[in-house]
Amino acid sequence: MADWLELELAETLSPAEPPGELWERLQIRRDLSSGRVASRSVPLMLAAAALLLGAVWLAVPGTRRPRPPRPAPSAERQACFLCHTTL
Amino acid sequence: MSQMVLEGLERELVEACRRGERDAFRALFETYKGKVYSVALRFSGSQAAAMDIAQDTFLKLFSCIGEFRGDSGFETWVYRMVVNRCLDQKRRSRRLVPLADSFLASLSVPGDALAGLLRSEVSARVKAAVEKLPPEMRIAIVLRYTEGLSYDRMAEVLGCSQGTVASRLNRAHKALERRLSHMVDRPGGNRG
Repeated sequence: MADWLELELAETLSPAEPPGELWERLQIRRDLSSGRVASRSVPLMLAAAALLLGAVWLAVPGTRRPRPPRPAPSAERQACFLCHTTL
Repeated sequence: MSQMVLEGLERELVEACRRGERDAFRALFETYKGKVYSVALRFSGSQAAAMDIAQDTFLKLFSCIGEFRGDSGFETWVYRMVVNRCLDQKRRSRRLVPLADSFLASLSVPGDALAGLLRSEVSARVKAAVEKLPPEMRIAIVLRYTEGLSYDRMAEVLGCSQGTVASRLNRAHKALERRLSHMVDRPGGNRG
């Protein structure tokens, strides 16, 4: 390789100092991304809480309404049932 | 073979970053900001793009520092990150920012300094020639001339053999010589 090229490249591509605002930009991006994570997790937490409440409601017997008693089968339906049942 | 090459203070810094200590992030940033920004600037040729690349590199570095295992030097790991960001950025976008930057830079050149103008003209042509190189040749040139890395360090950073590094540099030098030879005074008086 030619010497002139080596010298030109070394001079033109010499290291550079970054602007002072780079650290501030990093802080803003980090704060934004952590804020985004927090706002994204809120609906998830609400859904989890709703699921938990539902599970508790199903598991604890006192929280459920008693089922209404079934009406007694009518005489006609009883007759059909008797006729069409194979033993 | 795995090789633990982290030394004293750097090891402590990395450990402190893993624990999420803000001061350690700042110290790591201060240590590597020059290298990261220089590679980004010389590769992209634009201050705006270099800031984006440097920002992405540090964000990635801070978020992935737990994945650093010490198989290679920490500096090599940082170089790999910025090289990958440079190549990604080039793949993602064909920006016009370098043109805008060079236009703005030309406005700030003092008009009465002829030598300075000539110097900046030569520098601009060299930069433009470097920017026209394919990305894998350009990053090799930047690591060699901006950071002064040896062939074996470059091979480690770029994930290729020393032979590949030598070949890329050789092709890049030939391409640059072709493009810039018109600026050179030749013994026969042939000046372009």
